[in-house]
Amino acid sequence: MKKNRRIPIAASFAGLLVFAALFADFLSPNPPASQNLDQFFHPPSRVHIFDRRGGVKLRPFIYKTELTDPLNVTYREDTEAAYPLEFFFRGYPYRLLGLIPLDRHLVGRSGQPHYYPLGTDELGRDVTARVLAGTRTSLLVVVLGMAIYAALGLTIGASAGLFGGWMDALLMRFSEFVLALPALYLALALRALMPLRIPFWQTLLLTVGIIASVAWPPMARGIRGLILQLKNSMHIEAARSLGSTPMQIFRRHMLPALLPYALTQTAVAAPVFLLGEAVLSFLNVGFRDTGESWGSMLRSLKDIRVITDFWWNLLPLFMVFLCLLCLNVFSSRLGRREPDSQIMRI
Amino acid sequence: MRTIVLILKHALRLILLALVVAFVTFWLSSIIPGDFFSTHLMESGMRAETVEQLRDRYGLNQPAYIQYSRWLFNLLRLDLGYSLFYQRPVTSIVADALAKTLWIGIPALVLGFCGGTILGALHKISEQRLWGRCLDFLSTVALSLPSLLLGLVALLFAVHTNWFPLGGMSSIDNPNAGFLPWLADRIHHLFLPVTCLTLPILASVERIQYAATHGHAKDPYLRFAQSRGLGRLRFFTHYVLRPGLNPVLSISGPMIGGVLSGSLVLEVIFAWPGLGQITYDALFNNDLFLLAGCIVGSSVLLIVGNLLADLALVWLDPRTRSLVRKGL
Repeated sequence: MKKNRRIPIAASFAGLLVFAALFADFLSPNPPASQNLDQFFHPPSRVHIFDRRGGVKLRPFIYKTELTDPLNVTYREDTEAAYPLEFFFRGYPYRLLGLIPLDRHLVGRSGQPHYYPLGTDELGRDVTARVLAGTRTSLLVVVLGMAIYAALGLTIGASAGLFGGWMDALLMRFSEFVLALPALYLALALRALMPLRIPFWQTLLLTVGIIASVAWPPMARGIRGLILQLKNSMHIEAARSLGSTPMQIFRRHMLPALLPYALTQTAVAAPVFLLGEAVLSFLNVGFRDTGESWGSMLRSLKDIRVITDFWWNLLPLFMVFLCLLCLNVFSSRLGRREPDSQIMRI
Repeated sequence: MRTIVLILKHALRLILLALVVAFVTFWLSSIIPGDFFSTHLMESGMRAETVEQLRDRYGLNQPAYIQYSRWLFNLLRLDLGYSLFYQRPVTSIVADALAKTLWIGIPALVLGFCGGTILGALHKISEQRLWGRCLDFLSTVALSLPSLLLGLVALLFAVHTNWFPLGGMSSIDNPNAGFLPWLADRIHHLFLPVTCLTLPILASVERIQYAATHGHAKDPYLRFAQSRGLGRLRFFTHYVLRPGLNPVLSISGPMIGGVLSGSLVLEVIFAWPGLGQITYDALFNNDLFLLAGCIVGSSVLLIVGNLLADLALVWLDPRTRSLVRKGL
């Protein structure tokens, strides 16, 4: 693929993801957490237009399905009655963008049989709804993570560079230690200190915080290096001789010069957070089953049967891959000057 | 001489770090409520007095610094304590697990670094051609395929083709068939985990080699070498590959940490009883001594890896020798 075409494609995919995350509840036909134990591993519902006698229906419809073989999990469509899909139907209540109370959903069915665009998982939960809710969680992790990463990197790097002396030595030694340790071991150990069952928002903050506390060294070291360079430059000396305070010098004369680097580094760190969340959740120490995220959905793939027979459960895998690909396209354009920041640590 | 002293200093720092981390482990485990026996107390209905006795026996009732100093003293005799879960000495468990992790880690590192340097340089010199564009695209894709995703895809592949085993270290069909069949069986089991670990390493190394080659692409020494009429292979190996040597080798230190992390995930996916899997279990079982032992084990791996990388750098890049002499 041509290089100049990659960025627009990646950008539109990212836009799509953000849209899906914002309107996750509106787009999902069923509540993500509700279990339907009669319909576990239900394949994606087949949408029909032609009915049994070959006539065309105006509205697409689905058939009721019944479990014919609970051991091998096969479903048979009962073609007696057609159940039309409903658009903008009344489903479970939610808050649009967290503010507007609504109960309308794009497409689906309000009663039995439920419409499962991408099937169900082992507890009969709608995969579509869970992936959409997971998109929201994963994007939250990435956005929050980038903010914390930037704050940590700037603060530590700036204090090492500005204060110098023992502070610098201490912080840089510490960053070397963190760089040298295997990141995942460190993250696991940190996570093991906290109780396992905690509410969604706490999990979110904890997961992001743990990944950030493992990931900060490259940015802090880069910022420190830049500040050491800047310290000797003419305009800083001029500002100092004019009597500016160190804080003023930092804010007015250093920060603008640091910003491009800081922004690039932050963007390059985005995949670390996405992947870190997926790995931690996969290893049972991130989000629980009820706080849907792509990583916690990947956990169900430890069951071999899911991989062999129920392929629609692989969707989160592709979502993580596509999202990483998209972020890497951006960061390989941005981070060409700092290839070191792209190496795998988790 | 100076070089060796500096490198040893580096190693010493890592050893100190491992000891600090081990201390933190003991300290935190004394703060966190619950230990190995508290789950037993809840599940198997063991009597409270028995549990107290057991705690006394393993020193879990003592303050963290006493536990730590005892552990440290025993470490001098290479005795890492006793695993509560496995009921075996930690030293033997960790040594076993370390060896098993190396079975995945070493092939992946060697393949990843060799393949990565060659592909990165090839990528640069064939940038304008179709082959180079394919490499560029493939490396972007491979960078987005961490070992977690690759491992799951590899499972899918193994299930559908039946060409590779789904996990484990050896098949039970031929327990003592001789060395060669054993090796073939081991390689058969290793193939998927090693591939999954190699690919991310390869992609990162490729990126760095590419950037290094890119930075020196217009240097006159390359044109001079070409105009001397060197063969293409010699030109490639002696002149195009060279500038990447230093940056590639200097990331190998952090990369070893990455390999340990990646192998943890892969060991969990492929049921490979290596260091990652053991650490993971130890964390969940509250197996304090085993956890501390795993930390020491992984630090040993990191120290040896970093030492080798430093030595290789000094050996291969004469410029670092002069830097070392200046004391940088």
